[in-house]
Amino acid sequence: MQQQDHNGSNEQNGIDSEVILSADGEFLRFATVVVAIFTAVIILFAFWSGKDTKFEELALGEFTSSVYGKYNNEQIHCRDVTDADDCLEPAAARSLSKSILWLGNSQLHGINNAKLGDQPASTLLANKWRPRGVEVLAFSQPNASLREHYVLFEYLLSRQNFDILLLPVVFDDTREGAIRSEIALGAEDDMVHSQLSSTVAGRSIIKIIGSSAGPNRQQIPEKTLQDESESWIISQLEICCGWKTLRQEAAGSIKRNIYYTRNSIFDINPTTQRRRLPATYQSNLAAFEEILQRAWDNGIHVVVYIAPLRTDVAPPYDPAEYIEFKRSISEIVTQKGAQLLDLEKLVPGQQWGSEGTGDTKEGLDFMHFQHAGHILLSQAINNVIEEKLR
Amino acid sequence: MIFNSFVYLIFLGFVVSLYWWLPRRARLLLLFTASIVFYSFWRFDFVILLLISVTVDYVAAIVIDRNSSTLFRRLALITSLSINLGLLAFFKYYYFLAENVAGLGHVLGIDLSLPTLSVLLPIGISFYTFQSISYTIDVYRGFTKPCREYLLFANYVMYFPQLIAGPILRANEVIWQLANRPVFKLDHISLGLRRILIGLFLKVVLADSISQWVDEGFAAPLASLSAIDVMTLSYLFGFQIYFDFAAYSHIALGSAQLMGIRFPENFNHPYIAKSPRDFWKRWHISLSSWIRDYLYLPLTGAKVEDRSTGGLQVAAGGNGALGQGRIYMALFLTWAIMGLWHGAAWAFVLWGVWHASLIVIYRMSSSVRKKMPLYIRNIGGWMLTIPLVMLAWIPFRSQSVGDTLTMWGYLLSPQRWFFLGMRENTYIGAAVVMLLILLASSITPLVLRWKASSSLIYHGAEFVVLTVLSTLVLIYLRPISQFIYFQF
Repeated sequence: MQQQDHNGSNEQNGIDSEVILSADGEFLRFATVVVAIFTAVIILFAFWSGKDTKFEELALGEFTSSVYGKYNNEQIHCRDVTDADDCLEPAAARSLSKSILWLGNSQLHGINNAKLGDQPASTLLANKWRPRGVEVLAFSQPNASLREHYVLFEYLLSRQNFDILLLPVVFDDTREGAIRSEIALGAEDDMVHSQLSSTVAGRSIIKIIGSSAGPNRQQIPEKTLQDESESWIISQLEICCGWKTLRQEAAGSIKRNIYYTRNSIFDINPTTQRRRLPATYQSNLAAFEEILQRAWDNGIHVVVYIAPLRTDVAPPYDPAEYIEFKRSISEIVTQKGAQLLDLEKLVPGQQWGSEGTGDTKEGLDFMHFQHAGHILLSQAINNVIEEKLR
Repeated sequence: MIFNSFVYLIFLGFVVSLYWWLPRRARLLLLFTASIVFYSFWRFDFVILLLISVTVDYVAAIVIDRNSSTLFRRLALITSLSINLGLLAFFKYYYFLAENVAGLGHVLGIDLSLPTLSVLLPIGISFYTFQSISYTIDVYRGFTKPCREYLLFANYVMYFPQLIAGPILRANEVIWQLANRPVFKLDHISLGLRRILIGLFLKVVLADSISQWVDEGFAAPLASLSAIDVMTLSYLFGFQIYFDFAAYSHIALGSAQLMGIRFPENFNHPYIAKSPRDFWKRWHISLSSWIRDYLYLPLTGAKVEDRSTGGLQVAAGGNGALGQGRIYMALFLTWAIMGLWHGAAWAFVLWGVWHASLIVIYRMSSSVRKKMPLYIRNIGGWMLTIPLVMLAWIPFRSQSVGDTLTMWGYLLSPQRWFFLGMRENTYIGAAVVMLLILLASSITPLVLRWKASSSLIYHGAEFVVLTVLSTLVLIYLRPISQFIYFQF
């Protein structure tokens, strides 16, 4: 850039990376970019408007459906912080003397080869205990990690107390390190944030939830004019054009296609062995310890169970790592005064998927069983609760 | 105001539309008001600091120009520097100073605690302070005449596209453009929109996506990371900060371009640099040029320049009287200060010292390098430079010097090379992004030649690319994450 004086002589040097453009194509250059932007808007609406893809259903596999249980038409099984009130508020109104909280991953709400009337284990348990004046509430998310359970547990504990906590431990989910936004919302509550900040595991979760920050972290006021105005604009766009839903649909679709492409290139399928990730594994176990400690501090009896695993085919884990995992869980449970059930072999192979339900190499499902499996799970849990609440 | 938001796009459209219609004085008032509104979307009360900086330097420059007495000229300059740097020091370094003074007191067994204050770092202060004092110094040096029009000068310091995170511009590059609006051309709009689209894509699609892997990696217990994880995280954060900051620069340049104002480039494909010196001619060019002209070259006694381009070029030998010792001292001091400019923490000083060390080693090895064939110097230089540059990002992102040294130490630990601690996607992602960067750098010259031909096929291809970029930007545009350089 050539130095110019204030009297305004207009000599300019081009910059190395620039091209001197001819005047002739000026309108064409302008039209190209403007039409491209309009075309992008049209593409968004053309491809993704009016759709409501349940992306989490896709994550379950073709032959597994999500069923979030109800009792007497009342929601008793929710997903996360965003719909927690759907379960908690009616429960508060009912005000039953005892309550059971069941946290889990998609195994809790996923039914393989679901038929009309099939119910997940949470509803089956509620059917047994609600008539006896015991509240049963369940929260589950696909690939829920113990770290996410920790955040959600703190959030739910800030809303009401529980007598029993049912907590599955799934080796696969110890690979999950991220905290989904629907759970991270819970950490915005002051009480929850304070509790998380008081533990090492909680602080590392807060670090993940917060933005990239070095020592110069900007202390921004909670709600700036930027936040308020942007929220208002997005809300108006949602009202007029379903903008937020549209973007979620598009983003989900892109993410799904990237995953399919990755799986195709690297030949990743349900039988591909998943290795343990030391960092997230340790973080999840640390969070697990904190859940048990918090439950103990609040007089909540914890029933930890090794989640049912498909045993008619080799699981996608290193056997030594899996055994080590079970051993670590057992140690922590003993130290923290909780109860451990090993339900690994609970559900027989034929109840995980049979012919016509996608039981192929690509369709093998190691996590979700049929309705019969949910019956077995609820019965196993029920036996323990009978003993506890007798 | 955050660039990656609908609010900014609406604001920009409004300002640009009015800009091309208004006469000169009203136009300057529009820009001034727009800049205040832009800044106020964060905090209105800190606009006062901005105006203090502007007013002090406006007056100081006129006093310097009007006085022939060296004493008065120096006094005016010192006053300007003291006030500007004093404000920067207080708002940015108070906690750092207090912490270190208290620590020193603890070692000496005396209480040296400074008062506890709640000091909020004004956004953009590092950038506009440097820009403003460069003007005063340039007037003192005789490189530029003082601007007599307050509104025009205020716009130079506060011009909203570059107010928060640069580029840091010289008065002689910008003031004349603000004073004289060019004839309107559609190219101003089309080129500006292109830059903004590219910037938004880099930020909301690439940088924000990579940040999830980076956050997860740096939040993991240190002991669980392998040497490959450390390298991968350094590359990923290097990509994230590059896309993030280059995005900001693109949007800033594009926003200014919409008004017919040309800023110099702030990045030039830094990750194809073949040497540490080459890297600093390509990365944050306006800052490194500023450091060159106002810190490094004066320390070495070499002739300074008056442009925000060229980057931090190391003086060949200063003037004849200077020994290598002084040159190296100047190098380390310059980079330490540059590190501190980025952040009030020893980790940033460590970053600066690392880069200074690379430059020194590079200089010392020049006789060996000269004996090598050119292709080995180029390829080998790139293969050595980039990993070392990426490793320098570790202190930038980690919380402490201790963590940084631990992570660097893992590279020297043989057993840490035989496992992987992170998800497979993290490594795949790092590899894919590196390939994309190399591809983009390779095809840029071809694309520019093709662009010059202005053929219909070129426009068709560009239309497809811009449509894809626009679609992705519309899908991912959300102001939930700040630009990294906002914290500096």
